[in-house]
Amino acid sequence: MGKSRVSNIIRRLRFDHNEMTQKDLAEAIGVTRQTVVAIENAKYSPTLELAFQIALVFDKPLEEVFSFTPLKAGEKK
Amino acid sequence: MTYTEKNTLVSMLTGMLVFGIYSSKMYQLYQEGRFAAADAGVLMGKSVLYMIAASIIIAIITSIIFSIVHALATGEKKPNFVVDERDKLIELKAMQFSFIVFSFGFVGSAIALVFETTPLMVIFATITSMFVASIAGDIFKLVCYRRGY
Repeated sequence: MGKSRVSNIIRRLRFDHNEMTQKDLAEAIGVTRQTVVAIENAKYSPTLELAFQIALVFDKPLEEVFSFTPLKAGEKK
Repeated sequence: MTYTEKNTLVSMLTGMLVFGIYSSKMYQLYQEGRFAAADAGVLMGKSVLYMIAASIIIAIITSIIFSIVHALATGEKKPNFVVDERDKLIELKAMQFSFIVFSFGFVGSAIALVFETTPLMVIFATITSMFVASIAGDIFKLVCYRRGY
């Protein structure tokens, strides 16, 4: 339950979108504010569907909002 | 603390309360020697059915009281009942954890049978492990919510 290898720039995107609150984003994608907090802090990796919804809110391609850090050789999951 | 977390805490405390009442009642019956009688099995069966009925009623009452108290304390007329994918995953993980805990209790009860423990004590041990598993699941859920996932 540590940090996920999926990171994101949601915080910055919210700021760029007229300082959108976490609550506003949560309402736009139909989740709780706590889920938005968990995603922003990379504690929880959203499903593909939710990730697409988030990208859609900010009108950005998915790979711009989320990025994935692959495991290095010998690194444990 | 969110509404879901508080609700989980209330559910956990309700479980503890029901189990506390049930255990004390069972101990009382045990002290009276009712479990040594010929109809001990019937008594045990009845007690389990009463306990199930009582726990449902208590859960409904505490849930209503909690909703009222929460609405009064926070001023929220409509609490956020949104259940999203993270909630569902946490629920599933908690259920899985709860099942594992119960499995240990069940195996423990089976081992107790091998050592010639009375079947009634084994049934009580199984019921106890059921309660412990439920509380463990709630604690697991709280930890998940506190940590984010």
